[in-house]
Amino acid sequence: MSRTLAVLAILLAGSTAVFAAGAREESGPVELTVATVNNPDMLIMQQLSSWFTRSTHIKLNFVVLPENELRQKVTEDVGLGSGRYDIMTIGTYDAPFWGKNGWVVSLEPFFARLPQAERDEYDREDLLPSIRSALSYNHAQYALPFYGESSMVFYRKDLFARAGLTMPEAPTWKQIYDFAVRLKDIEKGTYGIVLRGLPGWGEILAPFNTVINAFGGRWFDEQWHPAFDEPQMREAWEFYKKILADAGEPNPATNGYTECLAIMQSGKAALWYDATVTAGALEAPDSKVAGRIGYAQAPSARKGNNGWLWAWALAIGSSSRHPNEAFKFLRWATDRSYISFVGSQVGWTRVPPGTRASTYSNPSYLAAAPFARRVLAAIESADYEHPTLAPVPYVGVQYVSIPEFQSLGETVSQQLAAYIAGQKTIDAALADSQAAALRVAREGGYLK
Amino acid sequence: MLDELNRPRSRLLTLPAIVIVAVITQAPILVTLGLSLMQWIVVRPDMGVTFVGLNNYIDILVSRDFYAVVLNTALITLISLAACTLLGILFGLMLNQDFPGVNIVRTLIISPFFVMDAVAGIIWRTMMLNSSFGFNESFASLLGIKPVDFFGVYSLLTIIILIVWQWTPFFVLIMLAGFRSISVEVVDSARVDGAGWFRELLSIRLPIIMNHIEVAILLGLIFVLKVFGLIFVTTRGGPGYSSANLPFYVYRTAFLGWDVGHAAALAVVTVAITLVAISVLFRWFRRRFAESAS
Repeated sequence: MSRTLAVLAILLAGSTAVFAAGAREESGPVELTVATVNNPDMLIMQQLSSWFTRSTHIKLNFVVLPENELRQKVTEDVGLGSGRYDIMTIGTYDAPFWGKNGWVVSLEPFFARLPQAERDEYDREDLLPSIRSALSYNHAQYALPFYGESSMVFYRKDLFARAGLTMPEAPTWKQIYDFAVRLKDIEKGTYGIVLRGLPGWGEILAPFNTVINAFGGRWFDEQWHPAFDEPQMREAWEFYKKILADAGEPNPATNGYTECLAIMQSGKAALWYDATVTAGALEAPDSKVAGRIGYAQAPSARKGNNGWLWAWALAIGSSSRHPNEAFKFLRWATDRSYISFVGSQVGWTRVPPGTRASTYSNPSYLAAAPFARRVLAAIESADYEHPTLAPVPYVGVQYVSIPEFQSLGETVSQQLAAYIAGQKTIDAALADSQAAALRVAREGGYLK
Repeated sequence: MLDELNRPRSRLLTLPAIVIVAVITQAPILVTLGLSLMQWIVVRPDMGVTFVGLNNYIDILVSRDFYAVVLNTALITLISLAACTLLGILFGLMLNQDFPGVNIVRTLIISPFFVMDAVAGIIWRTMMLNSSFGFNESFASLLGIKPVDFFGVYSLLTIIILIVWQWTPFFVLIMLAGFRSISVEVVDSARVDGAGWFRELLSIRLPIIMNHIEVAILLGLIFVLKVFGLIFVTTRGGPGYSSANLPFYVYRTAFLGWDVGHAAALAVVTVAITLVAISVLFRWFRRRFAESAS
């Protein structure tokens, strides 16, 4: 008996010591885990975050992942409730339904609790309205934008001049096609145009969805019937294949954003239609085409104003144990003063663009970034809520803002890639896309 | 001693080990079986988790994509195993010779096996076969032709080539061990009897190393059926489903569609197909072993 009591006493003492140690750890410096994407802007944020830690004593652990993996990891984390991340990097696609699902917390109560002086200093009204609205659900903001982008045409001014061509301010896809065909092989091996061909909703579908919108196509009609059987959709598919075949890079199936950037930076293409955020990389000192790039609006066809809208933003996971500290970090990383800080520490071409109006009235930034006004105009005019010519029941320009789009977008992008590669006829690819969209509409309860 | 172990009380002592092994190995399978009967879409928590019986299995079995993926899996497995076996025998024979630099050649031939799937895939995709800046482009522009569309038109063939490139060294190692175990006297007596190189290979060497070949094929089957990393980083199963195998299809359903029910049902079907393939092969081997023993 006494032996049993002794064992119990030792166990009790041991467990008390363990709990005490745990409690000590809790009362120590707060540590936040941040899941973020491995793009240059986020990597700069990671480098500069030691300044935040120094002034607040809040430690930061960064988990840096490629875009596709990031979305998978954080969805897994919040969907299955493991609560590993305090702060998550999410996009405009994710924010509304993550907010709806309660996976990230509304930031309104945090702003409401801020003293007036701090609220004024942060100045939420300075955030670009289109981006702010895309990161909200039910009029509540769920994420603070870190950088924002639209899409535009990049072209080689020198090659255009040599061919005697002039790029209009707002080109049509027909004009882009003609330019690309004319400029193909203007220098040995030059591609007339480079466009994403890598399957994936965040890859080929980003530019291609704006082509669908431009040609008057849509994914679903107002009653959520799939619209892959509409002639405008077919026209968009045929056009994308034709422009790639006649003037694009060969075998585009492996070329995503990164590969297209490498092609354009190395001077192998005359035209590129992609994200506005790329302008900085094309004008960077390591780019072979720096100083030779011109900019034009996203091309139109039946519909104008087709630039997409995207932002990477920071949100607080609903299972975070330190939401107040997390909010402090969110404010630091998305504040006006952070943008100036990056400008002074790293250079003005490297500041995260597309989030605040004040960035575009900053003389230092305007002097360093000749593309700044075009980017601002593209983001401000992006038609996030009315992306198509015919009415649709969804919002989002280069995506359909439903949770199932990750899967549906992947399927359709694979069909498109198979069609471009010549492995499928347009009829088969469109029919399979229509069937996949119909299944989503039915199973998701959209189609009544 | 055996009698001791057979007593009921002694058998009880093995119970904890059996329970632990059962929990570790069987619990995930039982959970997967359970999930395969549910409808659970992670990104739609508003739809909840509901019991749907065998609906997920029915959906899979009526889907054209599933059969396309099963066909791809069969093609990838059969062609890769055949090519690996053939190349394994050829390289094994070559490396069984003594020639200057044989050790360097051995190391070079075996090295692809030690490169991680993802790393190998990225190198092949970007540096070697990319049509815009890989060796593919350089060769094509040298010859004045269009680069080969490895990841579009020939995506399945490319995946098979990469698997063969990566797994042939494993076959070579096993075949080489087999050839090394053949006694010199047996080969010499065949030569004395007038057997030429080819006859000696067919009638002496290959029958002697048949057990090695069978082990290599069996292990190769298990590994090749599970290939994922190479597909993930090179073709992502596309274009369409043209280069997707069953494990990649499960991944796509689970982590792009977040459809846990269908992914679990697919995983169960994949395991069933794998078990059938392995047991058929096992039975065939056992019969062969029995024949050669008699």
